[in-house]
Amino acid sequence: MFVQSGGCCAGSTPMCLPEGELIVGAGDVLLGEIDGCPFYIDDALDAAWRRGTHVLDVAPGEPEGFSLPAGDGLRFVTAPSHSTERSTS
Amino acid sequence: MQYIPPGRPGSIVEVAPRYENFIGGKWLAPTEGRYRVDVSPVDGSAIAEVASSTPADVELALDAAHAAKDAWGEATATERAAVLNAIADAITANAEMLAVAESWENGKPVRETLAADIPLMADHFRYFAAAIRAEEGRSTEVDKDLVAYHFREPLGVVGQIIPFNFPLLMAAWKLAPALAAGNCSVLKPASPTPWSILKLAEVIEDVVPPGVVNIINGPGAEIGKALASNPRIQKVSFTGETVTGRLIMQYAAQNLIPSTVELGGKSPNIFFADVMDHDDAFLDKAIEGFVLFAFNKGEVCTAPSRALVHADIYDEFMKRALARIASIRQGDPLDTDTQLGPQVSVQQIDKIASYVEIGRNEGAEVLIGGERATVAPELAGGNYFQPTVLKGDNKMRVFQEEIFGPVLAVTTFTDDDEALAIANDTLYGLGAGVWTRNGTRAYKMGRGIKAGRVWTNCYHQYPAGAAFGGYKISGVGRENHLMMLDHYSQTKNLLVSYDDAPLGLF
Repeated sequence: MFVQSGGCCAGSTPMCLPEGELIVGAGDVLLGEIDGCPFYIDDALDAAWRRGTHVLDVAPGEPEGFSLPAGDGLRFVTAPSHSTERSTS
Repeated sequence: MQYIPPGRPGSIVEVAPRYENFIGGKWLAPTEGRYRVDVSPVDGSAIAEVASSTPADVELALDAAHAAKDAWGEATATERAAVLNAIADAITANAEMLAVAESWENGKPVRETLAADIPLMADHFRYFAAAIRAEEGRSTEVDKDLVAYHFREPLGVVGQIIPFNFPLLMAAWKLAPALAAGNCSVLKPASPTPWSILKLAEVIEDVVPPGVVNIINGPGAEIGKALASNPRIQKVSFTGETVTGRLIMQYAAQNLIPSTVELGGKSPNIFFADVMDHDDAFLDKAIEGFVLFAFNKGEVCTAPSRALVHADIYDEFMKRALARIASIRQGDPLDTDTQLGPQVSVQQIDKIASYVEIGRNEGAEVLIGGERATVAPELAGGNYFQPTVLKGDNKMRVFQEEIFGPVLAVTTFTDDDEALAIANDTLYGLGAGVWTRNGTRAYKMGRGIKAGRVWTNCYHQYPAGAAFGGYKISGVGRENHLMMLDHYSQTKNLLVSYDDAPLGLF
């Protein structure tokens, strides 16, 4: 599962967690699924981010926080999408 | 003055090729023998290999902590205070070495570590040494013959996960109250900054009883989780981002233990029109207060990253502020003249660049900076970003999310109500700044802002004794104050009858 983080240090990083690791609450929005993996964002954070569209990407470097890596020496990143259709891609 | 990088000939900081975990007063190799190369953000060069631990190492650290906890918990306040003071003395005796190590690993200017981080660390241990000596239990005479005695007892073993932005100072903020209250700690440094804390361990290993402080390094997903979710800790504390903060609280709930979390902010720094009533020292201080967004390269949970400037003074105030920003000396943090060093990691500078791009695309105006900085060729492998000011409105993402870099979002307001509304229009509530010559306005704004710390006519001061912590999603709990002793202890009540007469019920 992916959960978009906010706040300090590694804030703004999408956290990749084992399925079901974070207990999803009523305040979490399911933005979409990537290869069967759900991507959540907190509703208030989603609003602060203007309910935009996002691209989940990978970049060199180790993961931050409690996130799993995206592969050897790779981490996940979230970037704004220029698409207007509300989905993850 | 220019310090020589740690490990190079003539440096005051010795660097071993490899650093193990510090467990039970010994240096233990990670069970699986894996290491990671720790890199300096100053020039991208390797510092040393540092243990990349696994959950088995967490268990070893917990074994050591549990073996030490009874003796440490039963030590008198006098004895514990003596150890805390000895830690402070050891830090002070090695202050310059620790300051250079911290600067080299984190990238923060050495003038800051020399003047703030390291002296504040030592003072923090002394503050809690004093606090625990002065601590008293309370008793209540419920009636003539029934007395309620209250004693503070340690929790036992605590897990502490600290951030990369003030590796040594945040370690002190978490360790000092935990140890003062009689707990043993298993501490996990942040992955980008595992080393300076091990230099601290070298400095204090002879004065701290074995097992009282244990330090393990490794990936958060493995050992951070293994520590925070471990049923053998009695409390967990964390500073970092919100999803890991939620995980920490979730693990604590599953084990029915307390947790404290500090999760950042998007702190408003408000400049009222009266700051420009006179061209004097106070105005100069206010301009400096505006530029403090660049302090510690913006990698501060309370960074004043949203500036609110009264529309009537905006043009003249910004003219002065931008001139001050343009004069910031950026470069090698080991040069004592440097004011702005590199970001801690490639991950962080990539994020900062991405946010500036987001700001541009949202229509924010770049008033200064906005690009990666050009630095001396020998620093080309480092992570340098120009001090940047974006003008826009508070609904933009760059006003709403923590960028954690030297990037300021500035906007204007026209009256006190609007200033307060903008200040509070955020998910976070960690810090705030209020600048005014009017005491009544300062008080009302300070009370009205939903944040745990409102600096009034100052900013970025962190003296021990001033409680620090968040409102809203900025976190739960406080640090930096003797109330931390409550977070790190539990209350024992003895309810004692001095009346020989039975109740008469049975």
